[in-house]
Amino acid sequence: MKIKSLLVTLAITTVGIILTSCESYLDQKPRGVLADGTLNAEFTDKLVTSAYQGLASHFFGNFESFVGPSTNWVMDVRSDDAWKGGGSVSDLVDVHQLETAAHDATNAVAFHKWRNTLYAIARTNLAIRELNNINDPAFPVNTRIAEMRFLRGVFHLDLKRNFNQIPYLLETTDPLTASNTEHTESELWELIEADLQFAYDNLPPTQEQVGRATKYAAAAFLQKLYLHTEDWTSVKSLGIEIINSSNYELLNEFENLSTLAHENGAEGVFVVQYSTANIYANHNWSNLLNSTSGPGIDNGAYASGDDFYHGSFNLANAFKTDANGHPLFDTFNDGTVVEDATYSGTVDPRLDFTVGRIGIPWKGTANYDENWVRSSDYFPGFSGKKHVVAPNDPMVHNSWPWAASGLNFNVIRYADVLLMTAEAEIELGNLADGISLINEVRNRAKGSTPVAHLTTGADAANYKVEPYSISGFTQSEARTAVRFERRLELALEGHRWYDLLRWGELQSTMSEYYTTESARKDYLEGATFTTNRDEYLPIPQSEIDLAPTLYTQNQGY
Amino acid sequence: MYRIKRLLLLLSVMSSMTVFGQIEVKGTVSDEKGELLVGASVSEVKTANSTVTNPDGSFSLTTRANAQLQVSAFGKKTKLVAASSKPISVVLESAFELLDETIVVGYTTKKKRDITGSVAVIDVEKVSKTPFSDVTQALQGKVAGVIGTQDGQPGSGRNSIRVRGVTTLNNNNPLYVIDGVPSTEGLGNLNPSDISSIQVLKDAASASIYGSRSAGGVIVITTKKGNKNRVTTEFGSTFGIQTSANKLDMLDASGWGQVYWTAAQNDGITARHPLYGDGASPVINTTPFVISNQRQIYQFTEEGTDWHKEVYRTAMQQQHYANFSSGNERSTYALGISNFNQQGLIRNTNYERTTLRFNSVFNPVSWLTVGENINVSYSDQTQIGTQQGQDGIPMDVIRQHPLLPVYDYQGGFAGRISGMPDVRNMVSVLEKNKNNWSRGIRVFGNIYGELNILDAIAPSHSSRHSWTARTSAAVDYSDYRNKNFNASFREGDYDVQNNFLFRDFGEGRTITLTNSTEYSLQMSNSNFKFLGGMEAIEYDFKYFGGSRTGFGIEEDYFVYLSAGSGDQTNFGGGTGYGLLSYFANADYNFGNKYYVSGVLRHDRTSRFNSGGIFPAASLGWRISEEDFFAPFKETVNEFKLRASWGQQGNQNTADFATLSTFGSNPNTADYDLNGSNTDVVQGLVVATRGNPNLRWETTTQANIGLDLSLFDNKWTTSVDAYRKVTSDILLPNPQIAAVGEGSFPIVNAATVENIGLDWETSYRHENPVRDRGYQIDFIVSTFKNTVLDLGENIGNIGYDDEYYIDGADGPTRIAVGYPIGSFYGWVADGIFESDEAVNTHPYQLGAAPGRIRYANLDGDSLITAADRTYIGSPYPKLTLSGNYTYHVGQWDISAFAYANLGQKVYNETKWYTDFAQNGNFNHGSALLDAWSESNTSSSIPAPTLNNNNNESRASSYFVENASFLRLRSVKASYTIPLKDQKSISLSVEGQNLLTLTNYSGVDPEVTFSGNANFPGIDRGAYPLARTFLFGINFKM
Repeated sequence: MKIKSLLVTLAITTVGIILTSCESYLDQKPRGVLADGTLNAEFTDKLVTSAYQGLASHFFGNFESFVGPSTNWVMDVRSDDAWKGGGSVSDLVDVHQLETAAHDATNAVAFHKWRNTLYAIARTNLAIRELNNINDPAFPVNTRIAEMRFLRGVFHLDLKRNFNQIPYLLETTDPLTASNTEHTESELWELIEADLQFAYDNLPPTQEQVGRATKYAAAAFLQKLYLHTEDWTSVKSLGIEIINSSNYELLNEFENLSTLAHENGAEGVFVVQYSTANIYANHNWSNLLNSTSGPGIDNGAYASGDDFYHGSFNLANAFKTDANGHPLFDTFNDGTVVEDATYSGTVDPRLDFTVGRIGIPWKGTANYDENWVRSSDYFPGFSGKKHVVAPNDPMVHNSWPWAASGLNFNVIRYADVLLMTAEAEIELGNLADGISLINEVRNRAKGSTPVAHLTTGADAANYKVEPYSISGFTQSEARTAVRFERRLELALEGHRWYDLLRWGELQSTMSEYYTTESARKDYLEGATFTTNRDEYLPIPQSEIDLAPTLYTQNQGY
Repeated sequence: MYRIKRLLLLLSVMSSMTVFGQIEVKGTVSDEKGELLVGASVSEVKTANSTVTNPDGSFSLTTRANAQLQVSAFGKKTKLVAASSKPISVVLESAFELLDETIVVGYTTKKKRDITGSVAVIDVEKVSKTPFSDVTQALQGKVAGVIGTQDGQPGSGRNSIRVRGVTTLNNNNPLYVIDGVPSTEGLGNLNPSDISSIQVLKDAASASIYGSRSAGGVIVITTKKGNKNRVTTEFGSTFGIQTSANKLDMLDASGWGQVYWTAAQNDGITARHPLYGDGASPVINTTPFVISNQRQIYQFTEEGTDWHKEVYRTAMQQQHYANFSSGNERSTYALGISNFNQQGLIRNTNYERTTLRFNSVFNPVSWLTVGENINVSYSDQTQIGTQQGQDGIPMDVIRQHPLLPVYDYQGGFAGRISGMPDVRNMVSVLEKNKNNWSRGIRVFGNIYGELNILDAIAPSHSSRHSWTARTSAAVDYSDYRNKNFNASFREGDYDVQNNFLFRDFGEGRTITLTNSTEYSLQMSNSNFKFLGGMEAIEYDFKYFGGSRTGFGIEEDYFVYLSAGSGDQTNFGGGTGYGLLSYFANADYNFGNKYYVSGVLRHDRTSRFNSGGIFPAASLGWRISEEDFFAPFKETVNEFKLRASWGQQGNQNTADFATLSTFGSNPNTADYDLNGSNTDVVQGLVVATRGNPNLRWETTTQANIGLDLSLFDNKWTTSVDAYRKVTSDILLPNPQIAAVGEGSFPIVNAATVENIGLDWETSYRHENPVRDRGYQIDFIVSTFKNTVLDLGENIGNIGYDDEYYIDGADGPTRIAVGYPIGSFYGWVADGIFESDEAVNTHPYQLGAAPGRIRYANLDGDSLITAADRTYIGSPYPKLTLSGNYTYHVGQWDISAFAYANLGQKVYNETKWYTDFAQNGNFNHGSALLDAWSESNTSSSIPAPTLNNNNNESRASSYFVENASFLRLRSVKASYTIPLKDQKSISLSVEGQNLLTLTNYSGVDPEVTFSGNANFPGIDRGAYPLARTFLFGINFKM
């Protein structure tokens, strides 16, 4: 009897022990990944790294990085600078809708631009939240936070100039309650300014890792911001500070801007870093569609390029120069087109560094040829040159992904800083100071070795570019000169649309462009620019569908 | 045979006439429990000579020496015994055995008569005298409301079981409870000959005690145990031959050319084809020629290659098993071993399973039982390439070009050349990669103890009380290991010199601890039972693997990861969850007439932050026990009404869906911060976004039912009607971009309803005098599935996991107001007969005579995406099944057939059988009789080489009525009785002998879509086997 009782007691005790120990079954941790609140400094720094990766826009795969990249090549296609290119009119039909202003709120480019940028912003905020938790004195918390606020400002600036009405997402913001109408335009500029100013105040002048943001990168983006708010004094003072830092200079050779050897060189103020480490992610995917389909030059690098992103007739003509080596400000688009090597008038040598022209050598390898144009029925063939390396470069892919390389993208280069500063000087009435800054840029063009004939070594075309005389400009003429210089120097680098936007020239420029360009090829026929609509992209319909009470559609859509 | 019988009969009649003498037969009659029966009738067959038993159960009757005695009693099965001069004791079995049957339900057992929920019981040993090859086969068509689908691929594990409709957009698999241990793993690695019985718990009252994993229904499996004081030995073998039950009629080589020329003519272009020349008619060059890359010599033939014949074979299967059991008063043991080996219909493929089962039960003292169950199984299969689906070998058999020879002129494998589709020579694939394998071990078992507390502490307690406690600890371990080698090949245009080896290993382990206690009290008129307990489950899973390229030698002995010289990768990960539950069940009945029962289960899981409660209640009324019913009792032996309501849960979602996690991702996170141009710095990104507020999917189910037994229990029937509403279905919730990247958080969103009716009835007739009898079982069930709600921000869910023919949108939707996975697309309402018909139809891009006409549903002047609609449901309107068994003497004969009526199949193989615009793929022979101006009655559109009319679009052209009636099995067995209940039986069985259907694909039942939520898509399924089995079974 006693033994039985003992046994029963023992059994009940055992069960009791099991009951309590089983609570631990509910305590499970995910395997091989990290959960919220478990990051140390090392892992937090990796969040910072991935926030930088947001610049490459490779979130979900290749398509998104093609059509919503931080290079903004699609926005050049929208402008008077470029045509879509590719296999046919409907190849990347969403881009064609944009270049003919026939898009609506379901446009995929708008969606990917919106999503890529917001995802990148979310990465910066996540990194900031986790950085705030680090107590390691050896870890540069403040610099990293400044880097993240720099990127947050940069991404919001890109979002603002593309979508106008946007939410502003701080690390403390609940995205589900952040409406795109809660801030006025000036409040948005102030919020961007606050982030960039913090970065400017807290970042070092140089960084050991070249891909990280610096004080001067922040200064250059502040300049960019103040161009939009027309705070010319600030644009000027920041520009002078960058110039006086002596950290930057123009490369001697213009063409070196498109070479791997001179990446992150003296001209790069803020640069998106691409790498050949992983073809699925780190290559310059955002320009990957944009190589010609030229029949394999040398090692065949461009053999099956998708051939998107062509310069327009209008852009090519803009490089015409007069007998003084100056642009034809008013008449450039009249008369003969600078179509191929047979054009005998004088042109700015930057033309043949910017776009391919039939019969003109391509990066010292072979003459650009009609066969390189994937659809010569539709496109004249001004394939973009700046964002691809030479086909015989050993670092270029000669199979899929065609012509991909680790070629970086300069978001802001020193020439841009010079021209922003020049514009400020001119707007402030300091015409001579402004013109002399423009001349720095023009002199580099003049000093660069021009594209040479492959066999004779002679100039491939009749090149002539000269600086302006410092005196003799009215403010209006000087303004025209700086605006024209921005177009020539920075063509196909993703700036044109936003320049036209802030100058208030979109309506006039685009209307004339659609008329004159479609007279040359009927590709753009019927396109019409609608004021108070086409300046900005629509808020993606799918986002409004998900958050109908949060987001208000932009004007006109 | 007949003649011999007559002779025997004659002899027996003669012998009865030549009576030598009479004997006095003495004996007793008792029931199974040994209680003596009073008033039982004992009569000499075919005479009026009879008597009844005395109050002590004894009888005495004078009969002829060789007489047969018929012994019968009310409520007992009649039995025949031979007269004997020695005293005989007759044991009569209860005729109410079904009602007295003990059923294993949630953590306890109940008698069938006391069940107030909806529970179906399959006594596996009674259903078939020889074992099934697969456990799910035993369920198929046997239980109303349970739909089992077979799959021809051996060991595919895709034989699916659905209990009462489709309750969720997630995993609908039932929970299996094997010897008291719950498991979510399938049954594929169980040895069917180990199984003693299967119970299906269909309604909430029966299943909800299993809580958060019970929403898909619960299937309770009990394995064979030893018997006290009886040694049994059973062993046997089954041998089978399988052939492919059906094949599609595809074009031969010359027919292909003919169709191509017709198509070119229809398109108004000059026909020319690399394989058939450029003449006025297609020409096959039958002289040997060197292919363009100079590597091989091919020779074509007019008829070409019959790929069905080259790839499929007559496949063998065999099964061997042995079961031993023994026992005494204090312990029982059972041991079972088996080996099952099935060749695939596809050559060089194979599935082999070896199992070992051991259990023992000890009663060291009267109040204590301890025991264990151990099941070990090892499976080894070779499945080469993809065996199902769009790029699977069955699809390639349909679409491979008939001109491609299997071998080149020199005997090497041939491969595609210009003019042939991009499909590899399947014979080469199967031959070169035949050393691939997938192996797995599963060890499943528990140890348990049962303590009769009252017996232990108060041995003299009244027998009206009982208080017991049970504890069990179980482990379910399973692993898998795969070797997948892709050999290099240089065949035709193909020159793939890079071979590739993939190896992986994964193992999962579940620990289940269960403790329960049960108290019951029997009073004069009322009975009370209380059950309470807890269960703790922990699951842990880990995997890793690697791959390598560059193997200089492709022989099996050389192909190991370290032997490769090329690129290598490795990977690994893991997951896990825990579950902690408490449950209680109280049953009360008054006079075995009025029943009330309640269940309460509380679950907590590591998957969710909050606990869940799953209640259920049921009522039962045995009207047949009422006094007023007495006049009918002779006819209506049992009449019970049942009603139940309860809630069941489903926790099938990602293990850590409540947590946001970060992970590395080289494709989206790394960045070249150092500006190296060739390297990157690793980054970390959000991998999953969690929803801390997640909770269970809840299925609320109401059930009403009645059970009837009529005419001495010969006729039994039960009907159940139910409504199940599953709410809070877990779905990924699309997020605005501002939230950031990472998988969409899972939310409790959708609601799905199933309304259904299950009716099962059986009629049994026994004629003991003539030693024959038969039983007919008939089952009808139907259900209607409707998605009631999909949740905020979640639009119609399309088929996005797989691409669809020719890159078109998927043909299915999950949408509010329709069944899950309804077909969606354009309505093909005929073929344009003339230009005039084209012109009078709303504008349809690509329309022309001979082309499919799509209906204009939105009333505008164009055929656009807006003209799509719902074009069919994959679920049957009615499922029927019938089982007939007949036995006479030593013969047992059975036939089993079932039918699904009213379901639709989306037949993607039609893209190959009905269309020529699929490029150089093969087409069906039906195209020879396609629409033309002189053959306008054909339903096959005119052959064309371009797809201008976009006929690959999802449309009703591909939707077919796939109702069918299938003769699943016909079986006969002959048992040679030996002494002492020993016997030898021989059996022969034919499976899938006959299928009546109008469905044009390979099989209306065997469909494969790759996504369980989108059933009924025929995307190239493994063909169903027609099988002949021969079995021998020894019971010693």
